[in-house]
Amino acid sequence: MRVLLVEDDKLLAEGIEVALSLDHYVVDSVDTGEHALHALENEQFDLLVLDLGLPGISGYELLTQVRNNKNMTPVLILTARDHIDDKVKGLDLGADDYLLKPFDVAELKARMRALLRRPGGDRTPELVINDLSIDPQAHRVTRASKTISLSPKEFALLHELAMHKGRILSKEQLTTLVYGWSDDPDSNSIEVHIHNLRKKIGAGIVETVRGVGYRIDTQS
Amino acid sequence: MKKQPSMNLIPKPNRSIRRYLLSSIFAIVLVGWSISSALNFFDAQEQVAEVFDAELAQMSRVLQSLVIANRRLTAPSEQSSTYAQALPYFDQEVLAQQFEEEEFNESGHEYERKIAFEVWADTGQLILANHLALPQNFDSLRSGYDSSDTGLVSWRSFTLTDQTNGLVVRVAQRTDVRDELTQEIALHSIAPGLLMTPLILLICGFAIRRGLHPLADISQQLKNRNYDTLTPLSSAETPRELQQLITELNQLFNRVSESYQRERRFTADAAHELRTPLSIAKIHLQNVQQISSDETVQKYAAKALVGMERLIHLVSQLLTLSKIESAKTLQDDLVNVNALVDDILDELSELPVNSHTHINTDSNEQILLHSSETEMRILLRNLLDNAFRYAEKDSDLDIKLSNQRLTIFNQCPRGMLNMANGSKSTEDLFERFKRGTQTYSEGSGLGLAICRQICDRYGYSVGLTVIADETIHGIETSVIFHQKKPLES
Repeated sequence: MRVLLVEDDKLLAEGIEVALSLDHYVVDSVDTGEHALHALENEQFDLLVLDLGLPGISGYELLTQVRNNKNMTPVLILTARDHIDDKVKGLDLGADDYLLKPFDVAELKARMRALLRRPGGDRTPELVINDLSIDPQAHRVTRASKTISLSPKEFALLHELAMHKGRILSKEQLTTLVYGWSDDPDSNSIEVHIHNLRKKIGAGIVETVRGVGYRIDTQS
Repeated sequence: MKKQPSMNLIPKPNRSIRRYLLSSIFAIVLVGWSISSALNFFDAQEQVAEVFDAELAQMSRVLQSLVIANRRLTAPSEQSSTYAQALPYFDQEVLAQQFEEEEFNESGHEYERKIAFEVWADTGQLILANHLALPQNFDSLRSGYDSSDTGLVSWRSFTLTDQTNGLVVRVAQRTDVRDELTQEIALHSIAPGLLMTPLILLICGFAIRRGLHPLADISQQLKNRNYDTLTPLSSAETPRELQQLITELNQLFNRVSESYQRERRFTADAAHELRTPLSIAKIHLQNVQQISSDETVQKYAAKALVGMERLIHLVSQLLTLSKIESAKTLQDDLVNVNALVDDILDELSELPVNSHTHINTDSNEQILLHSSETEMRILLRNLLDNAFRYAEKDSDLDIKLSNQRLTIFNQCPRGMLNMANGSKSTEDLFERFKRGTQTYSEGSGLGLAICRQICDRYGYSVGLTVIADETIHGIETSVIFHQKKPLES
């Protein structure tokens, strides 16, 4: 899961990055609204974690522009502003959730998971495809009740494909979703990870659409 | 310990403007009136004495002309009998009888007897006299005005010497009668002033009272204010002389209000600004806990996190207190206290730390209030959280709702009670950062101050009682919800 963190406080951003990376999130961090807009225009993210008090364009303005650009990436506001009006304004401008500082990291992760479940319309914590079950919280995959051990990148690829079940994701899209700016992937690393993934979970789940990309078919 | 001065000990005023003005005006009016009355009195006396003297002179001339006329019209041998015929009219006994009962009548005045006259021939022969006790010594007569004393009565006289006709006429008045009349006339001249003085003083007193009324109004306006009312005083209908005072006072209120707001804003801003650094510290500690496999690191990271949670709680309570203190208006939500208590109890009893406390609720009466749901939630949560926090393990927590009153009783260790009793009064615990006992302290020291602030805003009473006997030991917290506004049934 790739997350864009917009936080001007470097120490806090660093703490959140570490905490999320421990759960295998790919976190890219920017410290201004302008940088965030640029990143969102050029790359794809599963979630935007947004601080409201930013230098330059504010969190509210950024949120307004993101939604005006028809970008429907889920947004979790992370702020020190506790007034009810601030919460209402943030949610009305298109945010999906609101978390007040100082927060508990477990709560931050739980809210992020809840937001990430929404695009597929699935409200259950686990993603299920036939007898394959993916638990993002526990970072565990089972097939026919048998636990399968996956590397973080294999899990991230499977999770992204399962989240976008039925949709074809190109190699480039998958690269932006599972690799952050600090990663330096090889040109064929996606193919290698998909190959390893198929070997571990078995055939018939991840389908290759020749010349376009990969998908998990809804019929699977 | 040095005793703090009480706010009620207002220094007794040693000067009163009203009293000063009244006494000054009284003194000025009295002194002025006395001086003018004395001058008037003496002037009137002098003027009246001159009138009397003029009368004496005139009477002497009348007598002179009558005697001369008598001489011309009457033969010298008959002149004496003519005078003798006139004398009975001046008979003192007859006159005394005539004015025995009244001072004057159509025939004359009693004071006629106080006027004496004598007509002498220049030979020393007494021609005519009304025989009053004038000193009748011809040789001692001098022309003009004179005063003489017989020993019993003193006289003021005028002697007219007519050398042409060989006559000496003396007319005299008794000095006591003259003085009596003079004083009476002089007194009459100052009497209106004497009567008007109390009236003038009364009017002055009324005018002073009216004149100082705006000052009393300002004083009353200030007296009616709460300790935190810093709105400007109304300057409408204030006299020009007090406008400057009002302006200065309002500027002072404004400065105090700004400083008060700044102080409150500082608390709120500081608490707000602390949230980000607290988040940084907390997330890094949680990361350390998750990353490190070293037990010692885990242990101390956990302790640091406990301290961090307390700090976060303190900041949160500071913000709450600051918000409640700066709230200007009272809310008017219809609050069901029973439902709110149940809701908070559900919330608190789910916390693992509270699982060893047994809750007994006795709510046979529903308490409905016109209040703020948010503030009531803060109040009840703080009180119930305190009760859980300080409850002895595996003890009962008794909650009773009746007669517009909430009572919470939690058993607590005797050691804690001793320390709670150690403070001068449980009232101290409602002050900011006051705790009953440091040993057991895990709270922010602001929870009860927040409760007191909310209760003060809505006119409720909140109190703590330490109960310690052989069978039971604990703390009873009670809130009495004085309902000001009648509820619709």
